[in-house]
Amino acid sequence: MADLAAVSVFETLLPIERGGLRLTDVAPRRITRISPRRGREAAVETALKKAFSVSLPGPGQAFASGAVRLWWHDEGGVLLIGPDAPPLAAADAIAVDVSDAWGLIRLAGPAGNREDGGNGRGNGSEYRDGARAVQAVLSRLAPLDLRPHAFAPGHTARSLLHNIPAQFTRCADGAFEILVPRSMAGSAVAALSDAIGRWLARMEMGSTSF
Amino acid sequence: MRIPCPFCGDRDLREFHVMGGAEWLARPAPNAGAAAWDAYLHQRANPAGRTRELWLHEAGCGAWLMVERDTVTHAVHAVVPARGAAS
Repeated sequence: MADLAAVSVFETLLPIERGGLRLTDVAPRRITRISPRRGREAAVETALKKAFSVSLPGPGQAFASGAVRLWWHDEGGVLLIGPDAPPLAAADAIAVDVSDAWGLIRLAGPAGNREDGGNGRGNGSEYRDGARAVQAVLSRLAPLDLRPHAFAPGHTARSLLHNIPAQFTRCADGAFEILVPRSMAGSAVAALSDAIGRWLARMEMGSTSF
Repeated sequence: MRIPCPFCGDRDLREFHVMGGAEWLARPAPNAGAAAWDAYLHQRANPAGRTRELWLHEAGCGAWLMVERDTVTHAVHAVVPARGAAS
């Protein structure tokens, strides 16, 4: 069989930079869904700790260690994003390569993503603050409470991005990583790019609200 | 209306899909008779007030939930995973 080169779904779509906000393609090498068999969670956790020094995340948790991401996905499984899956006994878990099902976008603000409370109010200059800008853009697209006290770094949530089923995770630097179905990658980039443009327009008009 | 998913927390109604009454959780025995199967498949109380329903957290974690809510006030009283509610 021909040895085909893997091409990221965002190859021709990203990166995009507008007003200091950057949409980039994380392009993880591999995404694996790991579903521990009921009662075998401890064995799976041991394998993950041994391979990557990360624990098995519970609901809403996302762990990161270097280029290794481990996100809670649903009641029955987690997503390992980045490296190949560690060896897992068939009696402990089912691991399925879902690399081709998803695309991973990173939305980051200007350098120095400082957190400053994020109560949703303030003057325009506060919105130049990276994490606040990212939050303002995503608030228009996702029905989630994205304020730092409700959505801290290491939290992950599956929800909607402008009607596209997506999974959102806040990184340690305040940026968001957004997992979208590969088939909707173009629509996701269009929605995010559009929301950034509208946010910039509101800032230029001197808007002081979201 | 917001529904507190036991896994994801308070979420907006648009993330959910409703299947119907929680009668689906009490499946009669195969030999229970025509009346029991008729009730299971077709008969619903449709109350104005507290009711138990099955909801799917479709655009979230994908869990099937048993939601006890009030059809008059839209208050949500209890949400549990449907698997646990069936046993």
